[in-house]
Amino acid sequence: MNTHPAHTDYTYAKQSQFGKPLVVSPFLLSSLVAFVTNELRDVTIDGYEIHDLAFGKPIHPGETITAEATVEVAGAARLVCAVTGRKADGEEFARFRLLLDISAVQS
Amino acid sequence: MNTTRYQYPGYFEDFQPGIVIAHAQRRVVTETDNLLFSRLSGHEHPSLFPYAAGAPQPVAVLPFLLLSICGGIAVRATSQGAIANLGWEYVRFPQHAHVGDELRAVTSIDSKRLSKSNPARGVVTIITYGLNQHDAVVLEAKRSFLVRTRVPATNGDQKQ
Repeated sequence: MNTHPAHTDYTYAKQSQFGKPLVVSPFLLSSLVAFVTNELRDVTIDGYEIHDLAFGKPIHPGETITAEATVEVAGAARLVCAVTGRKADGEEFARFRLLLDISAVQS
Repeated sequence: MNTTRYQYPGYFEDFQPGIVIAHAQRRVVTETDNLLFSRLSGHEHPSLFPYAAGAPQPVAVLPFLLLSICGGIAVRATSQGAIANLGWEYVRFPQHAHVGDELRAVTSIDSKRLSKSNPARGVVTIITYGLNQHDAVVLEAKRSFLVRTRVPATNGDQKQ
């Protein structure tokens, strides 16, 4: 639903300070969270929360991104991770804290 | 909640902290929306795809799609002229939204300040709420973005 031309108007993007279109932030956030939660198939995820999310560098279509997560709290019902988003060359472009409400998988 | 008819703000000076904007646009989230966004942004966690026989329906919507939809609805009236998104102080999802829900958004202009390093720029902070058709809050997100000032300040003063 995002109407900002930086994401879809390539002529605008070319003339902007970035020179290229920008990947829209909620998509980047969703991708970074997916990198983390895809590793957690053994629990049910009941809720998500994001704290202190900062984007330091723009990401353009075609770039490769990955995430790194450090577990800060690992309880039976709550998992807290410090997440860093990195480009293929390792440069950091985003960081945030991911709080997950979890429960054991019902069998 | 006190709302007002608004003109789209483009510059730092246009943003009035305290104003609450009820965005007119609404959007029903479909199964296709949810599956495509979830898969395209790489989600594979089984919790998100409860399609086994007997699984409760309707399916809960991926929270980050709520952020994308409700945040997207808010853009035209808030950050349409922004230079860059800086980040979110928090993104919370107080209740699940489900496939078939009709979403809308309400934004409160929280605060603004001039940039410390560049007086021709300012930072605006807004809180966007996403609501379903029952007016239950399904998203609360506090976000900051960078905007231009209308007249590049030479003395650091705000031009009103």
